Amino acid sequence: MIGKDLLQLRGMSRETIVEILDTAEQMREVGRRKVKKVPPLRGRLVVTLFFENSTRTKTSFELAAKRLSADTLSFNVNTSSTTKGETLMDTARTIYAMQPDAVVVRHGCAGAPHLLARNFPWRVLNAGDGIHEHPSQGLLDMLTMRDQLKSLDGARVAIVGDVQHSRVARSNIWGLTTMGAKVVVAGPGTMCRNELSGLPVERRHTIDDVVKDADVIMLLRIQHERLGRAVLPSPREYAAFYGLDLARLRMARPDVMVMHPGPINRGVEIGADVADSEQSAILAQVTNGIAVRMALLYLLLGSDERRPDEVSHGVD
Amino acid sequence: MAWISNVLVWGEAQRRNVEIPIGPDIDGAGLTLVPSFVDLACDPGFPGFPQRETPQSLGDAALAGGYSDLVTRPCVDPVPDQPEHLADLRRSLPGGVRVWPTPALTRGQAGQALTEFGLLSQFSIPGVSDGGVVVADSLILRNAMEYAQRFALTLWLRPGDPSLDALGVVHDSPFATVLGLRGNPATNEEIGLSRILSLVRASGASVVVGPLGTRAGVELLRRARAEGLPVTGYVAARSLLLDERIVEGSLPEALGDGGDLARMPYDTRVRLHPPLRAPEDRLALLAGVREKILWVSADHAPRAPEEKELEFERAVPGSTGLESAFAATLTALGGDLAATVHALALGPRALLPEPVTGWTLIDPNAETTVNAALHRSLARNDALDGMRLRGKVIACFPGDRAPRVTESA
Repeated sequence: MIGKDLLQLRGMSRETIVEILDTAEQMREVGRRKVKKVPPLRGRLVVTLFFENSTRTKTSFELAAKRLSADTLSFNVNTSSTTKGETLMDTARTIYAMQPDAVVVRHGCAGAPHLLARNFPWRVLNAGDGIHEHPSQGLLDMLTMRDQLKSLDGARVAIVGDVQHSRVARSNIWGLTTMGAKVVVAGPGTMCRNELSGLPVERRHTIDDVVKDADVIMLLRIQHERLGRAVLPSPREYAAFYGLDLARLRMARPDVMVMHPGPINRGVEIGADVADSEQSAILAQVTNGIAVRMALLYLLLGSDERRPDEVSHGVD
Repeated sequence: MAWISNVLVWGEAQRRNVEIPIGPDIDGAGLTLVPSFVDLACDPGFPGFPQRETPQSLGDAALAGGYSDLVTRPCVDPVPDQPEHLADLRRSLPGGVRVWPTPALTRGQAGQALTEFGLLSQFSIPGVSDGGVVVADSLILRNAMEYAQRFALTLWLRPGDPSLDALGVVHDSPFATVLGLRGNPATNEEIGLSRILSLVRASGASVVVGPLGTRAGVELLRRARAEGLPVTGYVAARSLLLDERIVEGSLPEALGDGGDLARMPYDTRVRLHPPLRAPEDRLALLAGVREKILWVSADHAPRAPEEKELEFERAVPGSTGLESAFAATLTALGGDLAATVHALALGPRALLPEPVTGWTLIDPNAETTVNAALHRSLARNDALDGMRLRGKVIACFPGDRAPRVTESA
């Protein structure tokens, strides 16, 4: 059973992951209909509260909520203006007074969704917290892999790039290993540090070491905005040693899946021809993203035994 | 006049009655009168931060924790970096607690220009310090050490490497990787302390370093003292009990369930700088205290609610400590009262410019649960809040109202 909130995949049981992925498969059917809307969350309010720029994740959550007939409200908070202005808790108190049922939050600080979850009775969905986790992304990646591989048990997944600063990688690593997959990572020493030993992954030094026998190659975006001093000499050096180009792709199994959470840097972590190749599952990831987020909202809100008119928000 | 009856006085074998200047009478059965404690790293909150602490609240908190004397850091506003500031600073708090300010080592704690060591040393001060700010420039630090000699002035330094010190909000480790929090590496302290010790060796200056938190730091201190360098180190009491895992809500196994310290991850009460470090570091710190090469500070850093009710990375680092340090230390040392008194009182007393004559009445066997809501400090940010500990402070008698212990009853 899914808990009150969706904060992280670390610690989530195999049964819960399966429940979410199975529900997402059902939700995917809704998107294939002519009328892409079902009523279970009618009258419920889902707020998206984004402290970092996002287009795809936010749109995906909003579309998911709308397909379940929920009302949506979107808050974009410019981080720079909150640095000296309203605190996260004060922003949350304001939004809470609008009586939302669920809040989808993205924030630059690890643990920010946990803060909102423990201080308010609403349901919190973490849409990315700092470099900690991005659980809905991990789940949609797992759904995409399961579609092709049939089972995640025993799957070999290679994650290449800035694992150290990647919330996508962390959620995938926890979810995949819970499901029985084996995860190997590769990247520059500054992006795959010794401290990765806290994660259930095997670390290799070169991309060639990890692509050869992988079922899935997941490339991470090189996020220039996250990098401090001397983490990487240049994008072209990265491309030369860690980018997935066609030559490296040919070393992999012919049916390998290539994934990327987007947005991609063509020519840096992924060759342009690779992004468009038939091994690329990037667009399937987007479609599955909506289905997974529908499943999450449905499981968190639709199974709520309280009827909307009985929900007490504790605000007088 | 009043009496503490049937009390055990530190260093004596027989229980007896002790006269105290102010009543009421206290039944001393089961209690021990020990030398009062001296904090080595107190962030007073005043002047400048009335939402953190007032002279009244700090004095009350100190007495409640058994502290008669507080060495205060210059992290106040204005920064005490001139003799005129010292004349204005309160030297005695309500209840008789004495304050020993360490004025800034560099002007405005900016690390650029030395303060007037000579004029400052005309006041009775334990030394000069930039508090929690690392003196980044090694030339400035060398000059400070050379210049301080003429005035026999001790430098109180927090060891750190200028660029590594700015990193991270928790200990840099596999654990930090899991939590998605940026790490501050143990090498920060190791490099910073090595730098200080090299300069001490060259200059002969006397320094106090702390709060230490790493195994490497303890080892460096151990070797420096064996070598005879004039260096004293201290550690915060809480880091003898907690390690980095508390950021996720987990306690060291040795403490069992630890009481009601049920924590959600990312609790900002354990946002500290330098951060709590790894389990092996905690054990090294404990060993250092047992060897009497490390004294223990309360490392009292009061913060207002609005400074803590924030995202973990954005919360102001620091924890109160005066009202839990004794029990934390006694618990961490497995009930060894002699080692506890040495670490909290006898060791630190030697660092003050004047004798300390206060006494603290404690119950070494009482079980207590830290409850910050009931603390006398204005602040509620005790990292040990909710923790079940051994040992309780019953009363504190600062020097000017000390019991007449020396006369036999």
